[in-house]
Amino acid sequence: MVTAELTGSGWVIVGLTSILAAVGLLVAAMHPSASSLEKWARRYGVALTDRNREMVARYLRRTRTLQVVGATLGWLLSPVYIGVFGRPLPLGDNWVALAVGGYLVGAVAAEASFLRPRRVPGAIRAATLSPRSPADYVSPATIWSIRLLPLVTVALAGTYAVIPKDPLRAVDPSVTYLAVASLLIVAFALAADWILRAIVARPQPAISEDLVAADDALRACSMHGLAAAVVALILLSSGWALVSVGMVTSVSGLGQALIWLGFITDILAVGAWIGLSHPRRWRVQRERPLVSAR
Amino acid sequence: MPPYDQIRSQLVTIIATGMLPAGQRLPTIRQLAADLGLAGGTVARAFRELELGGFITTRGRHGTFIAERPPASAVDREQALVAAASAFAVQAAAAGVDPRRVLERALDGLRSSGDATARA
Repeated sequence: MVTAELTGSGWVIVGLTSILAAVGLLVAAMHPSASSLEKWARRYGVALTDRNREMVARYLRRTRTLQVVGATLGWLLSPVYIGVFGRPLPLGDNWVALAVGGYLVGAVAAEASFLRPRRVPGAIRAATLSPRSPADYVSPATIWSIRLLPLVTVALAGTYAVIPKDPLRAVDPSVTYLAVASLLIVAFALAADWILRAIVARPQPAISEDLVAADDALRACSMHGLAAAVVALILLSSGWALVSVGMVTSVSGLGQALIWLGFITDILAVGAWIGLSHPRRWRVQRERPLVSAR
Repeated sequence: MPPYDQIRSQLVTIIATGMLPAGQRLPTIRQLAADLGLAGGTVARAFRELELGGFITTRGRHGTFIAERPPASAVDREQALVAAASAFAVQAAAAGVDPRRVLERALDGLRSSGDATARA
């Protein structure tokens, strides 16, 4: 096994992270406490009842577990790859971005595998007459961030191609690499937008008012987690592009400014991940008459 | 009554009684069909008939909306009354409430609305 490329401090970070992740996983995998459930319910403005409490607990347990597993695997992917293969991970060595990516995969897996309450066969079919849209579940600012921020990366890729370059510095990554990466970010954002719409479009039979309210809150929670990770990843990509432009430019003063801006964008990305995935309060409004069919 | 007709008549009631105001957007056919566990064609047929009846309007990609001036002829009112009673019965049955209690509450509601009308 080749371990030469990862320093001693690197392994210390890996070890500490693994311990933290194991603790986090244990906490996430446990049945949420009553106070934790109440706190979550207050945040999403939903009243817990005997019927929806277990569904919420099951959702939180599954989602938190898969998110922690995903983030941990993402975080450890690069050092483990280096340790095993002795060369950098082809996906890049940004541990934070890989952790956010892993969290995103975990969040998607949790939402996709969570079974919502279904109509009992033979029971009356009922649905609310309230149109659902992503803006009911996450803020319009978040949605527009997902749609518009990738364009910043595209603009930076364009800038990277035309900006006067310092002949003493190697153009790394290549112009083509950054251009392709920026287009992949656009495709990623489009896919994320589609996933958010797909979550909104999942069937929501109006079995009872409390189950519908809880289901709306769960959708909002899922979408906040996903959107937060997506915004964070796009911001991290923008930060990387900013630093790349800053590193090659020969324009005096601009290089340092762009590199600092890149670091600030990275910090913003982590802030967005934490802040957007845990809104202080979010209430899905849905007070409409029902329509039913036998 | 076929499912599309149940949806149509309930929507007529909801619109005629003003439970959904004019200009209000309705869910898409796909959403309503998925939530009800029905085929899209069933909901589409209900919407088509409602549009022909002047209850709703479709504005292309923007969606389907309650018409600004839904028809309110005597026939529609009678139809609305029947559909309202039917919807009430369906919801009461879904809630699992004792039918006698449901009737008592309905009579109470009628009496109080009659008193309010008389006072007005």
